[in-house]
Amino acid sequence: MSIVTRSLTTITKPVAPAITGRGIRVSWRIPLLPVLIAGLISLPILLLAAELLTPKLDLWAQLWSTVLPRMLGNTLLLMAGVGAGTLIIGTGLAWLVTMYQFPGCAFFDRALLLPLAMPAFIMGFIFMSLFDYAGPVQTAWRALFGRSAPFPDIHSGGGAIIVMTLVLYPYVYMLARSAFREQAGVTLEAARALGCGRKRAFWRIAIPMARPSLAAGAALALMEAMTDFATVRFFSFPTISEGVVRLWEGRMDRVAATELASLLMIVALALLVVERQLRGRARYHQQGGSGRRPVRAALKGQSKWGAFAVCALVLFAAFVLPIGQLVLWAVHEINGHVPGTWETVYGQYVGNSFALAGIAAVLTVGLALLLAHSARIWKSRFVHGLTRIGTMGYALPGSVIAAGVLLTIAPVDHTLHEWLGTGLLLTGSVVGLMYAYVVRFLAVAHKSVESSLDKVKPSMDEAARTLGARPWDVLRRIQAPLVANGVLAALILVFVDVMKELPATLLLRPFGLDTLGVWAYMLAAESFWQAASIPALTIVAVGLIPVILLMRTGDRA
Amino acid sequence: MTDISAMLTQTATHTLECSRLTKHYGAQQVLRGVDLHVRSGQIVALLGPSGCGKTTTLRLIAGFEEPDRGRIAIDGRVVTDAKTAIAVEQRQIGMVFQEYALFPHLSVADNIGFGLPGNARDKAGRIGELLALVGLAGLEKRMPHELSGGQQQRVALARALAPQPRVLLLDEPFSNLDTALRAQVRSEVKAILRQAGITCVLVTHDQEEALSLADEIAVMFDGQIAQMADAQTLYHKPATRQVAAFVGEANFLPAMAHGDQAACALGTVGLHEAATGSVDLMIRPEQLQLLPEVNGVRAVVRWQEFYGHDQRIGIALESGEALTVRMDGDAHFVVGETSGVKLRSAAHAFAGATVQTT
Ligand SMILES: Nc1ncnc2c1ncn2[C@@H]1O[C@H](COP(=O)(O)OP(=O)(O)O)[C@@H](O)[C@H]1O
Ligand SMILES: [Mg+2]
Repeated sequence: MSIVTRSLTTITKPVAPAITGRGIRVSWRIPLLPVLIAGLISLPILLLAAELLTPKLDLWAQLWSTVLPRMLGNTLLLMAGVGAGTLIIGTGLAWLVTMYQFPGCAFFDRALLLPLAMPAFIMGFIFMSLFDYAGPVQTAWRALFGRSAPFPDIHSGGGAIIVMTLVLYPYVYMLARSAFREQAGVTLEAARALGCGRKRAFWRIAIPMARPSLAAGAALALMEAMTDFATVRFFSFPTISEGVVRLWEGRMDRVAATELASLLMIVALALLVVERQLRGRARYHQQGGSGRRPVRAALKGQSKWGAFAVCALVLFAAFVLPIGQLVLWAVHEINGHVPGTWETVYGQYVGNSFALAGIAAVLTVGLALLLAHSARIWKSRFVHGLTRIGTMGYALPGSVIAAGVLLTIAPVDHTLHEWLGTGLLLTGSVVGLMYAYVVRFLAVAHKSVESSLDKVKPSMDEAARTLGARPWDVLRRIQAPLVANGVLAALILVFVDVMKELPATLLLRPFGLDTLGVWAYMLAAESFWQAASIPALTIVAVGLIPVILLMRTGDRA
Repeated sequence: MTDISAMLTQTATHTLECSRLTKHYGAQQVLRGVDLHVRSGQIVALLGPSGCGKTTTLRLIAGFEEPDRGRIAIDGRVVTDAKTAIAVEQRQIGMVFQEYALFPHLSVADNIGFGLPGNARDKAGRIGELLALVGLAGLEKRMPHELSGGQQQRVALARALAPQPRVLLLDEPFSNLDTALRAQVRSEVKAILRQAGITCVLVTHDQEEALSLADEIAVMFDGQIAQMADAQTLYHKPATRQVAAFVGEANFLPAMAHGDQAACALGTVGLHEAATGSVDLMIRPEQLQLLPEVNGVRAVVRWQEFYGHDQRIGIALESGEALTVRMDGDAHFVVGETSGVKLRSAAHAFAGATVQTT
């Protein structure tokens, strides 16, 4: 009570200024910003969908009689193969590292995420070079078993599926691991108390409970597999995505490319619906968990080394081997350097890539912040729906987005040209490319920004308002400092994703603006493996940054 | 309330006036015409069961949400009505949140200075005063997570008081504190608010908190204020049976009233206010007394809860009514035994006894 005996003159005589402000009540308000952003993102998709409603039948007939059946079949095969492969490897590894103790298990627990840094097409050309007829593996094979010793044909769907499985399994691994951890603790112990062994618990408890997480992880992996056109091209296994790029780039047939892209979009949207449904359920399932990890059982003897070997083999094939090969090539390239080759353009392409990635990151994260901020202010279902529309681009292959973006901005370009004689102001510039990046990566940025905004409790906003802060002040003085980390993470993620992005960049880049990715792809497509290693290694190095951050925060993934 | 001159003087000095506030969330009507008038410098507690609309009322006053209908004026200036919606930041309202809502990235001093105008030097003096007021001098450099719950709460209070708001709103301010700490913090806060002389609306579902802190208590049920009065009036002359049962414990007994007396199962008892016809008597447990000698009304002891300083005893009258008695801890009665019972003071009557509520 001693605290109140001090002099309090200023507090007892409030001399507040008059309550000011007009405060006219507006009876209807439109959440303008989220409407605009959602509109911007959905326009390319809607225009593509409209294409599908007015199909060019003769074109489809021609496609159907030529390449389409094979592409469609290959796409489905690829999805089935990559789906099964990532599920088996991702789930199996996640089970091993969460449930058992074996040499290096703590290391593998995190290191198995490393392949995330590797774009599929880089992995693709490395494996192609290693296992091709002239590559070291087949050469050694023939040396050992004679000239005519049979070797599976690497130019096949199997090769593409293996490569993509190796780079994409971490999506399943990540979600499976957290599902096992969060549910396994209590539930599995309960099951085992009821006399159910670990192996049976895996099939009867863990897998059924984690099913939504597993399927969501597989869906994410499939989305990545669908956006790829380069790997399947290296392995001569054309999919629809590859077809879009081939028609657009090779034959300059944008009409046919657009038609094909609209078909691919249907598949992608179906996948998106599945993934979103399962995600919601996965979250619900995991809320029940106690957060306590299951006790790891110590493996003994053979099984101990078996588990080690499985993890080591996957990590070797998916990360150590390709990185080693890249480094080896790069060393050769630098040692046997012919002046006037790569060093003349390296700086320029690095600059291009970084500039594009930097601008796209700032733009995307800025829009994500606005979207997340307005969702907090409006708290309406309508705005929530708009947010979901605005963040669906991650499911769409780059080639689909490129086609949609072109459909959107071409008419604007024509109109501008007719009025002002500007030429192809948007289509030929970096604007179209940025648009595509924003559509594709807004979800990545939004997720990171939103989860950090969630840490700012609504009552903090409200407390600031009662203390005289206007909405803008709240954003500047409260939310911005508190979400700074989340914003930084979002910037890094988008930056790296743009660096790794290939199809949209290839199709929409302005004439003469090449990036590290495009450069690496072009060289690899001409089998200049050694030269391609320099840009490829640069991309992988940048790609490692978010993966290492992810490995350090680890469990929250 | 019907006295016109009283009404006039009240309006003249009302700092906060809420009139006929209604609010729906979807199809659910949360407020059904809330009237709340708070005089300058008064501490009013808004007391009611969880979910009755207390927080909603507070949020309407602060301006976080808009009512469907109704009017809110602060110091005579309309801040909310059909045509007006003054923004939160222009209302000069202070608010202490249940979870304190301190800004985690700002020090104690910066939290307190958040709402003050000017540069750091202008603010320093005022921040120092408030730190002294809430007894946290020397802790200005600490970050919120380095403070105990009670300290955090005092920072929240200082932060809300710093810009000299016209009205201070507190939403369940003590609910996050340990029970052991609560009484202590409560009396400190009361002293701070008294010294600050600030007009306060305090929301709570804890009647002890309301009774001990507030000048007047507005009891709220189901989106309406059932009664607003000082603690004594509320306890002894509740406006409705619901208020009587919510504020303290109450026995109800049907009776026939004639004048200032009524006939009931306890015999003929005195009334606070004259009434006629069929009534319900409200009898507080401590108004009843058990007697060892059995002459007059007889009761059987049914159960007993012992609290040390006092005890609650459940009895059944011969007529069948069950009543609760509160007596000193040293009185000795055994469950199953019969004893006498008497009413020690006049009862409060509610007209029109039809249903029996306990
Ligand atoms: N934002 C909201 N949306 C929908 N219903 C709400 C919202 N806020 C409160 N309610 C409902 O309004 C009723 C009153 O809530 P509240 O004012 O918080 O009660 P109290 O503070 O008295 O416990 C509750 O039934 C609650 O579920
Ligand atoms: Mg409440």
